[in-house]
Amino acid sequence: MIIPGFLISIVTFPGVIVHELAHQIFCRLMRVPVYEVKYFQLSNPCGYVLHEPSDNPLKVFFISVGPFLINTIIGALITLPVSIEIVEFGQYSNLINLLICWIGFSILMHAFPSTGDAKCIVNAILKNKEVSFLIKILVAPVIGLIYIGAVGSVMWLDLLYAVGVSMLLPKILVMIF
Amino acid sequence: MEENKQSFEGYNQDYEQEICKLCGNAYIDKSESRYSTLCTNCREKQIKYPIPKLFILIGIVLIFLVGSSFVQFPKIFKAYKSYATAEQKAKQGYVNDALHSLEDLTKQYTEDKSIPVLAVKISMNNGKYEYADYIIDKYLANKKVDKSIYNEITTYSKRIDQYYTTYDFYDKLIKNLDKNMTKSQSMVYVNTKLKSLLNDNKQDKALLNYYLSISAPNIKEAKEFIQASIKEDNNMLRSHIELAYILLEEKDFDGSRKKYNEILNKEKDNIDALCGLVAVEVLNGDKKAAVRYARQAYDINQKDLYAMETLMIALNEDGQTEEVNKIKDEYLSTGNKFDNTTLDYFNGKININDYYLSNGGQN
Repeated sequence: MIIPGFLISIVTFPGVIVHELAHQIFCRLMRVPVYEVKYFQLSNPCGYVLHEPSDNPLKVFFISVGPFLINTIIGALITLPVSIEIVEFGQYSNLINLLICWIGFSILMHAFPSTGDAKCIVNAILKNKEVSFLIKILVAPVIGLIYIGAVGSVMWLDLLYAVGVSMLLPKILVMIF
Repeated sequence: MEENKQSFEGYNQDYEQEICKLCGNAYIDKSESRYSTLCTNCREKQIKYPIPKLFILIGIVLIFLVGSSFVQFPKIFKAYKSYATAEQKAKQGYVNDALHSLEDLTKQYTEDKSIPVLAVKISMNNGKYEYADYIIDKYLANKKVDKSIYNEITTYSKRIDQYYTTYDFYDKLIKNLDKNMTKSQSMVYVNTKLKSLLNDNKQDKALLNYYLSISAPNIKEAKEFIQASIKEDNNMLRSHIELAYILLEEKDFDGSRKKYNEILNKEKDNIDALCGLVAVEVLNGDKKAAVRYARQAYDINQKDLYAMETLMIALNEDGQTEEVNKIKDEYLSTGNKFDNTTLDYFNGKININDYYLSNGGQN
């Protein structure tokens, strides 16, 4: 079933907010001035961060990939206490658990950087003659994954990612303890 | 003059380009980036672009919510762990533990069907068809399940139906035995009736051969049938226990001990196998080992009459009469009675060989 991404973004708006917040946090960490942040709006794009361009490939990379790291970590932590009961055991009666699960899933579903983010990395790293060949080779798969994530959202890849990550942490914990 | 004017406009343009685009009061600071359009102060201000206070408040509420969910997490995680490791636990020999944990989970998470399905799968893989049937009947029958679960359960059900066809036939046969027949006459009758089913494809051949073995007129035939049963279904532990017992009857203590240990590797809390080992060791003269196994069996289930009896016998053989009497009192106080063979053993009418072996092991 194909549902327009715009509608999905409305339903999963907490994820959009965290995604933009992650860009903003990484701008701060990378010391890149931010001009404007739209955390969520009812038009396309649903959120954005306008910031100063950077000629430092590392800064561009982290600002673009930041939401992937932050959304994944926060989403996984939020869903951890409820994912076992909801995803694995199908218990839908606890409303607070459902609320937490919705927030966690929304955040996880917006972990993938946008194609716009990928373009920034392409320009700053792949097309940048000053960047070494080794770095380009290392970054190329990441860009590939970002595009797969963006295209795959049509086939609910973002949802699959959310389900996968939310169950991964309990499975890792079972292996450890 | 014209030249001066041009030079002033150029200067003015350059000046404007060098002025901060935000405050318009200071020169642009390009020390950190050549794309900078801001002065030092404005850069710092924009780098620390404020995060809305509302988000911080929402974050605190969220931390509180998630934190409160974490209070329940250890319990939920423990439940999940027992589910996720059930198959592994069963393979390590803790089948009953795994199955009991899964049943507890099934009661806790009534909506979920994957837990009882896993319990059925583990039961089937370990020859516990009666338990699999119980789980299907109690937790899955007449419940809405998806197609893959339905197909899986249907496959298991066919196997269980076959098992119960034979089980019910034997049960009916035993219940309807002529009371005037002697024990050996009954055995011959049952054995003949069971043999007539050997070509019946509706029967569970493993169980049928097991029944044929326990009703066989002699050890040689019993052994042949039980081996046929194991060949049909290697998972049915009762056949392995019977084979171990037959080996004991043949006084093949090493073979019997090996078989019982094989069973215990598959099911560490198998009381029958532990009690079987007691018999092996007591007949072999290692009374301390016999007591050790008997205590192990008793500790698994202190209400199990077979385990109680076996412990009393092992202790009696080891000369621990005081403790035998203690357990005997416990046994009799709950209304239980010893069968004739056990009674004869405790009264000194028969010895340990007579107790454990047919014809006192003289065959």
